[in-house]
Amino acid sequence: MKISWQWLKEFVDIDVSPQQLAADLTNVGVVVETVEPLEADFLFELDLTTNRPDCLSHVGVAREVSALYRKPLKPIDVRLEQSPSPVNAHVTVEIESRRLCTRYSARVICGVQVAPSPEWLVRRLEALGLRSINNIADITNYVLMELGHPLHAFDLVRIEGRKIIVREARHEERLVTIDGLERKLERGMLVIADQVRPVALAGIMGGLESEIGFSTREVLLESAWFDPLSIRRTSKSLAVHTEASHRFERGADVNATVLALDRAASLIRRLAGGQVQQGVVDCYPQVVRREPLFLRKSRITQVMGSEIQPPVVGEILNLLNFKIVEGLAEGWRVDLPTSRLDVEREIDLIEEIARHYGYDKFLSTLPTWKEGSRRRPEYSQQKILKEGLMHLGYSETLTYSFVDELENQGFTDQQPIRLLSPLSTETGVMRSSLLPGLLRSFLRNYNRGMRSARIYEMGKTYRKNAGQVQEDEYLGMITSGNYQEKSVHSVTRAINFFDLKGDIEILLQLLGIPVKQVRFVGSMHRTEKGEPSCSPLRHYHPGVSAEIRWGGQKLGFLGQLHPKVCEQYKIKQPVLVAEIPLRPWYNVRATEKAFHEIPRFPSIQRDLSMFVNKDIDYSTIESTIQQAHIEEIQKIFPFDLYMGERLPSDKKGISISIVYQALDRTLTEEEVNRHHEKIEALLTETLGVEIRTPSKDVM
Amino acid sequence: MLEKSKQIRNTFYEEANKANSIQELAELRDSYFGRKRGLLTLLMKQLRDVTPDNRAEIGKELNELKLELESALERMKGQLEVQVLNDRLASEQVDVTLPGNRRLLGHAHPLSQVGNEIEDIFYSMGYSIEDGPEIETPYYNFEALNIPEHHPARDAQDTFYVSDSLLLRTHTSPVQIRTMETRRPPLRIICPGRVFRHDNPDATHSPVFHQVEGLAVDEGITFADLKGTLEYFLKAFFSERTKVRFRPSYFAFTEPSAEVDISCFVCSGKGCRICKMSGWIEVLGAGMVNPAVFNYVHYDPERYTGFAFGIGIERFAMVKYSISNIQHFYESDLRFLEQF
Repeated sequence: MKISWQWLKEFVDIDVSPQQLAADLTNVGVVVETVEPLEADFLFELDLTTNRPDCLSHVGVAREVSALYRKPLKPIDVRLEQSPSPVNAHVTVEIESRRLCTRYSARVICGVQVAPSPEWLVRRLEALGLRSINNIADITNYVLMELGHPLHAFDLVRIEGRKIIVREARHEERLVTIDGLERKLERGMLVIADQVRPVALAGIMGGLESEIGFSTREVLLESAWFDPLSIRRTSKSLAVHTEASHRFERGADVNATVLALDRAASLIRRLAGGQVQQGVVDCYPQVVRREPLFLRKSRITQVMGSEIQPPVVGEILNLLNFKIVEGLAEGWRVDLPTSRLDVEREIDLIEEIARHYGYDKFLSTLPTWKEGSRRRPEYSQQKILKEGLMHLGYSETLTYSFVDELENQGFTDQQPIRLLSPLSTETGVMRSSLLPGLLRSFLRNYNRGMRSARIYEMGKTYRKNAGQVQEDEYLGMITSGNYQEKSVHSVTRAINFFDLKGDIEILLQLLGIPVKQVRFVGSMHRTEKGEPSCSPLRHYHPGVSAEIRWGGQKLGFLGQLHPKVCEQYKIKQPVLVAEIPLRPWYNVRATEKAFHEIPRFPSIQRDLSMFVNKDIDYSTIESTIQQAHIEEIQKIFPFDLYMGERLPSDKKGISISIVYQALDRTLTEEEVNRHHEKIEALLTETLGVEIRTPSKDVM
Repeated sequence: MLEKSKQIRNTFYEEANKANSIQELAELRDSYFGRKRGLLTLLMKQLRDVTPDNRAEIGKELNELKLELESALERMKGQLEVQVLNDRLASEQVDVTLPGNRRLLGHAHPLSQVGNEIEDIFYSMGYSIEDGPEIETPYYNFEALNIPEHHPARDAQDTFYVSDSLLLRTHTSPVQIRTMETRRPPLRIICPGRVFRHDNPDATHSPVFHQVEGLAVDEGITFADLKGTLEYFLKAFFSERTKVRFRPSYFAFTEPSAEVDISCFVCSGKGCRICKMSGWIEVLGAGMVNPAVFNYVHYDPERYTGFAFGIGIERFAMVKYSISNIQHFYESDLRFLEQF
């Protein structure tokens, strides 16, 4: 909404500069975005909140100015010379749909000269962004901008039977509106009709046929009040938004219809001549009276935190047109004007007083609390993970929650949740996996030549679960390229599966999940019965991927991205990814820490080298050793792995270190030898390994 | 003999000055103190031949000479050892200006950093942190927040729907309702999270963005408490010097409502490009909880009052780091992310 400084001053005296006024209005909630000089005037661009349709006019804003500077509003000139012939002789009005039209007032002006508007009128309208049409149409717009009440002017001759019927449209009824478009109407849409057909879309736009033209002599001026909801629905379903509909759907003043008619009629008489017929046809079956409201002094203090002096309350209410009907010790009984439908409860009045009293005048205090605060455990867990990831070199990314449906399908079998009206097909479904977003993020950097990256995203994925929407918090990780930057300190190498696995093990450790108990089950792994041990995901390299398990819980999946997927994204290097559902990670209650006595006796480390069938994995070797139940084993770890030409193709060479230690004594050579021989025998027997070198002391 | 002793002393120092290594020093020691042919050893042996009258005097002199030379040898040995060590250390010198051997640190997303900072400030003020679903019902997203169907306020928040009865939340405010439904006052919570608006991405709009919702409900909570709380928070987040301004505004679920501005930290309120010449930067919306909202969750609006506020995390990050385009946050360009 644009407001003219000069026009505004016709209704209230202003002693401050336009810039000061703009700042002051903004401070009472009538936000002035800009003040622009225009010839001898200034234009204010207002950014109004939806609850203040009363400020969509100069008089409305003048009322705010009047309350702001405690100055009275000037009266509006509606002196009207009327001809003796009564208006009833020219037109009759019938409201058929009383639910949607509370009041319909009309005047008739005969013998007008429709002509271009005078210069000053054209300028005023154009300054506000309105195109001048002719003097009659311009006057209705002028009054709209001045008083805020929408008017419509009909060429009365075109109104069949000189009768106005306010009714709902009939099924498939049509109306060509003044913008030249034929509108297909439906039941529930309110129209202004004559005896045979609709002549206007009530409160939204007039009909082309009854539009004022240069040949018009008799003008029917309409000033009505329509149900906001009905106007809003019609305006939305026909996709027409006009100055009139904008005001009606926010709520116009039902008791301002006649004032607006009189103001327009007096201007028409002045600018287009003609005779204003005697009286107003005023169809107002149920006069709107609002119940006075009681405003308690104590409630003002309860909400605002300090008392406002009663005379100040009285003055503000009065200037804002809330008349005090009764002043009592506990408070005031206040009349509610029909121009302020947004004010209907005590709290609304308190807001009115508070904003004109000045928000800056209220105290600043801190509330006192009776209890402490808490964070839900996952907030600290999430923080630990994010910090861990940062130290492991991963940068955090955030991507949209919606992705391309086909892309999404490549990473999940979940039924996607589709958006009804997405911004584009690339953002058509809620993501069921973080990978499409993460891959796009990686790709964006990769395509500009950045070959090495570690990135992650932590966020929700969405799926349907038994008809319900399920949101799951996930951590997605991508790493690719070199393990370290090229440097003088070390030779660089490509990031591999075990780098990512190691990172995940550190994260597990940070959350207090015992890494020793976590199992990584390879995608190609089979149970003893020959069945797949896990359900591998198809976007992973089957040989270089694994499911993460702890007890019965699935803690995620990691591995190298399937070469086919890399190909689709045109990535020409291995990419390692992990998808980790965080709920099971968060549900872990970190095992209570308990101190174990530091061993006082030395440990002995023995190495064991063997040839073993390729399909026997390391964890099997380790668990076989554990089956020897030697409690002096402190630690087992592999330190060499060999596959290649010097070995048969189905064999691999592996070397393992075993650390022995007793808590109560120094182990003897014989003891350790005995243990070690037992292990060698067990491995040979159970796994058919071939022990290579005799075990040897290294420590 | 005294003459001899004097001579030994002189030649010792002469030769000692030429000794440049531990080895040479050892040889020197040997030539004076050697058991068989040490000059001093030999001289000491001659003491037996001296007449008893002079023996005491000469013996004293020789002993002094012995102690003197021994300590001189020790001293010189110490000096030489220091020198040897210093020479070795000097040869081990590295170029300390070469970069450190570090594994590169990752970067937390600026929105996470700002979100954490906001969380920490409110946590320190006694707020608990809550969470809620991103796919919401119109009831929690609109109705219970006093935004009925066909309310013009629904226009301002163009909504993504996934079905007739489900939408992507347009703000974090639904968490207010969900929390109040399950708990009784006193209540003070913040809920950070993702929100969605049907806006085409441009420099100032993103269809996905983040908010932190705040809510405090108790007996005796006032507008003054809202002011004090947000002033404390904004000063803690931006700077102690920040001035805070509350302007009347409108939100369906608060009344009275306020827009909160901070004094522009670029121009300190004089007016510049960042604050669009106004001296103020709009940073958040707030207000007293509308009694209508309390009715939805069956809190007695006569007994309880409360305040609520909504912080746009992108907005805060953009203001804090002078980022002019919101799209940076979602483009995952490491050249952007690595700046934080």
